[in-house]
Amino acid sequence: MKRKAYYTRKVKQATHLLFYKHHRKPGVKGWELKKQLGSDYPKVLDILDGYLKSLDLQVKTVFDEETPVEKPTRKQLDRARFFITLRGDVAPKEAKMMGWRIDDIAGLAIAISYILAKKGQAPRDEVEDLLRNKLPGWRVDVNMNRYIRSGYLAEGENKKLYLDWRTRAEVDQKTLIDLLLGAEEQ
Amino acid sequence: MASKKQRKKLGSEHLMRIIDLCESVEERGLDPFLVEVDDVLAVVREYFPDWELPEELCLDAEAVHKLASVIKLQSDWIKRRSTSLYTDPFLLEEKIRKLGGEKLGTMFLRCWHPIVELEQISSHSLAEAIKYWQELLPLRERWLDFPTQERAIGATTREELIGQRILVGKAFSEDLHVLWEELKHRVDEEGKIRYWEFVEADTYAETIKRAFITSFLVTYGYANLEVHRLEEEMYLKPFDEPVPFLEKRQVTSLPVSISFDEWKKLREANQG
Amino acid sequence: MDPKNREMIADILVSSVRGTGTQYLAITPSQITFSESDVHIVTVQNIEGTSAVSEVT
Repeated sequence: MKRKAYYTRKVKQATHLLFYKHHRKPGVKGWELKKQLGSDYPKVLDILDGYLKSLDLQVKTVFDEETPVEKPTRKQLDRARFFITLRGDVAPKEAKMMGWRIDDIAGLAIAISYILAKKGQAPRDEVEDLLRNKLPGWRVDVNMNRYIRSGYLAEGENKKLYLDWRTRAEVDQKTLIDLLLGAEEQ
Repeated sequence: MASKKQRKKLGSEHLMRIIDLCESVEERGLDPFLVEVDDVLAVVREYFPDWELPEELCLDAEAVHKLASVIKLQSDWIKRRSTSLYTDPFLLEEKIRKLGGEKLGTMFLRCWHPIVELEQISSHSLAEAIKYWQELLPLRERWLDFPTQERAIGATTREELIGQRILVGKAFSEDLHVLWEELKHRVDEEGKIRYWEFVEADTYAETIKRAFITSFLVTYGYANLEVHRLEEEMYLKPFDEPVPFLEKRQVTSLPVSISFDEWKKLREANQG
Repeated sequence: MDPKNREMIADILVSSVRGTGTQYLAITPSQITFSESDVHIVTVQNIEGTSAVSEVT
């Protein structure tokens, strides 16, 4: 009973830490969780993940390394960032309620897919040209800045775009590529 | 057989071409495997024994550095290919261009799992905010114009300013040169003088001033400071001409303590 | 900046502006090292909360 009470208390603490925004970026770093919850925080997060399953939510880990880590070390976990994300898909109606129009999402999808196709970096001009094909110019400008501000894309040297932290946290890149390859053209 | 000069010229041209090729691959995102690393290394190795001047060696080092960058790009390419995310980029690009926006958007929604980020104000932060608001001055008090008053301009002289130590009467470099000349005259047959013997003066303030200017003599290449740790002695050795800073082989910092008690002991030792 | 560098910078400033027909305004809180007589010096001192302005004649 003591053990159960201990973990119940820890899961509540983890909920407070992970659900609410404490910094400029959402999520919490591993070392912060370790400080608040103790060194067995991975176990606490596993228990929380179990609770969240029925609510279609999950605990998502994003590592410093760009490629996903199969068996992370404690050091890698401490440096990683933890989020609560949706476990399942988002219906188009729900996306609208989140403040996203379908063409905004399409623009983001194109930008992310194009950058993936270009091996992780693409010139901003090329991405914008692709979007201007189907969206008005002013919308492209507004959306590109929104994607960068939100953390989906990052602009590096020589005006090259990269995938940023939010894409790594929210987007299942493998599924996206599989869906793209399997899609029938219009 | 080509003369040494012709060979060096040819070698430089080859290295420049190698550097340009590597830079094109890096900047334009070309296939890194366009660069045949073995062949390039053979060229670099062939001309390396001919290099004598620093510029030539720098060019060789730059070529090797650029080649190392290309090798890294090749390694990244292989790593990427071996991950599960690899797929033919041209095929993917074609698909993206041909798919409609709505279809692409719907597809994206199937792999998008947005983050939960709630924001909520607490009673504690509300209390802090109210307390801040109560202490905050109104704008009309915070944004007051800076009060300006017209002032009559007084007159002063250079001598007065020198007396107030606002203006330096004599250029610092003059003091430096005077002390340097004194150092050059006071050295022994070996061309050096004990540091403490040189800086010591009748008053503590004058000793500090001499030590201060002597530090500039050493820093700016007018003299050298030899430290003999075993004997716990330091010697000053003036140069005939100031040695430029960059030509010195190694630059180190040496703290020298000149306390009043130490100065007093020194005076007593010299007078005794 | 140490006194030697300060002096060097002051000399560079004066020599780069000399003869060009332009004026250069240098504001500094530290000791000034301009030795040339064609440098116009104005001092502003805070004396008991009031600014006292003096010009070198």
